[in-house]
Amino acid sequence: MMRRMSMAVLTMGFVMNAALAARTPPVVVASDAGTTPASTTIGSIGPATGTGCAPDAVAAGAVCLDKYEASVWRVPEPATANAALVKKIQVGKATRADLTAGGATQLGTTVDYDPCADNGQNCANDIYAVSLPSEIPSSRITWFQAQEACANSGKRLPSNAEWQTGANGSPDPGTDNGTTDCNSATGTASPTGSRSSCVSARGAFDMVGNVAEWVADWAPRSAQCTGWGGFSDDGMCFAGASEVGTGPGALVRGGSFSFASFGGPTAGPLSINGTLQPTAGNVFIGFRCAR
Amino acid sequence: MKRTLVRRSLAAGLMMAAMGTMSATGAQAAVALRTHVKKCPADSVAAGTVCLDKYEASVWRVPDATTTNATLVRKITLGRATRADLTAGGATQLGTESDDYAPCADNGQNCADDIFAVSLPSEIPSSHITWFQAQEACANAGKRLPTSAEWQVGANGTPDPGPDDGTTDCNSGSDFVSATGSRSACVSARGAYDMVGNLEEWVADWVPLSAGCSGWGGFSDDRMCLSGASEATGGPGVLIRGGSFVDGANAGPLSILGAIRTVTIFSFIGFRCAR
Repeated sequence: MMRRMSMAVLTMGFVMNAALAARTPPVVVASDAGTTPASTTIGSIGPATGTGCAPDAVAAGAVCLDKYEASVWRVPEPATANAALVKKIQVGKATRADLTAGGATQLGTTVDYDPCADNGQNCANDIYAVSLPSEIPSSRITWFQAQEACANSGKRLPSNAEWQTGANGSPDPGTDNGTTDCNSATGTASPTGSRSSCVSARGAFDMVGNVAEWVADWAPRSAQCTGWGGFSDDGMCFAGASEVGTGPGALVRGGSFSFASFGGPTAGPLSINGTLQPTAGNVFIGFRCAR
Repeated sequence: MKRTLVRRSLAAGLMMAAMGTMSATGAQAAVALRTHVKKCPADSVAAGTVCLDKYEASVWRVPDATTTNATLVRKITLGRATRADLTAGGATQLGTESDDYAPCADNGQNCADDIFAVSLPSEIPSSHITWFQAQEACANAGKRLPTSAEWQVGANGTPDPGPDDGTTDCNSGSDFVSATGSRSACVSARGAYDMVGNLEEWVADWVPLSAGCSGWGGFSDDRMCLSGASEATGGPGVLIRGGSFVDGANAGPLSILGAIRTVTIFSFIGFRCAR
């Protein structure tokens, strides 16, 4: 973001010294006057502002939400040999080929994130969340690790409200035909974006089903799954406030490829669960990032 | 963030250029200015790190939003659309009499590129709207609902009603909604109108549905219904701020409710957006 800011200023004919440019706040000059290079158009819904998001993300109101559920990669030597790769990740342009060329390995499909710990310690400049199509999204990850994976990529977990904007328009499953519908009944994660109908009005894939997704918000750990009443059959486990247990609840959205109150018809754009503590790691919970 | 906030950095760049030699002191001054004076689009005010809409939203259906009216939509997102622009584009205001947002549904489906929240003076702000619809109306305008904390920064300094004189005070006792910005004394320290009274305002935050109204104790007479956590069915609660035209002394910059469900519609609940 900083780099783009300084480039934009340079194109205006100004020269900034490097130190000052580095202090520029993370706000990019875009241009309501049409002076910036055309940004990518993101579908028909794209940013009516004429400004856009990085290619790995879609515009959802005032935020850029990752288009795909995150695959998490360990990048060796991120500050030295792979500094350029990390930069590419952060600007949303890294591909699987880039990652493997840099010796990066995906985590959270079969193996653990250690030494990046469940509580988020020892994770800086270690694990990187990447929004890639056709990857098995990473799961078995705590909220803290997910947050670190986003942070290392220059991103963050979306808030619950931001997630909702990105999810609206996704089909609310009924049945799962196993190919194009949202993955809500297979019992295993499918590659990101492979369920072609499972896309939201803003262009984000797999918001419903596949892996359920951590969002930023914490709450007192929920005590009940009360449902939405007649309004929706989606899971609604964000009620009451437990006074026992190990930690607060972190909200999980969208439902998953299966599992109790997460799968089947209870998956959907309204599915919400506040019963899991942020230190929980489950095979059916992953995340995506925003910036 | 999307690349919309914009003029702020551009202005900073221009100013730096105007300063000529970039001494360390000059650079620091520029950074300080950039940090403390946030440049917001004309339809909003700076409230800390966010641009909060100056007025409660009026919600408009814009036909052909991605084709014929693409320019109008761009104007909306940049905060420059006027009522004249909207009517010229064939836009119609929704939510002044009833929940007439369909096909944009109560759950936020079928709303993309359909309904647009606009921060305009002298309009009856739209209500009869669910949280999901409000959120979509903001998103289509390139904005979002503010968080409760952001809303608070925008509200501080607004008079805490006592009586409502019916003309300049915050509209807290008229039983009817008034035109945005028409209550001239009802403005916050940051320049936002009607943060207190007129319509209560949805903000972004969800909570377990609150169970009670415990009040602020001796601290304030504003409504405080964010306590406990109900296990009743029907969905989470959403925070609602500021009180409405019927709340009298219970309206105010500290008024907060968590006992209203996301899908509820009232004539006294509206919203404003942020970016």
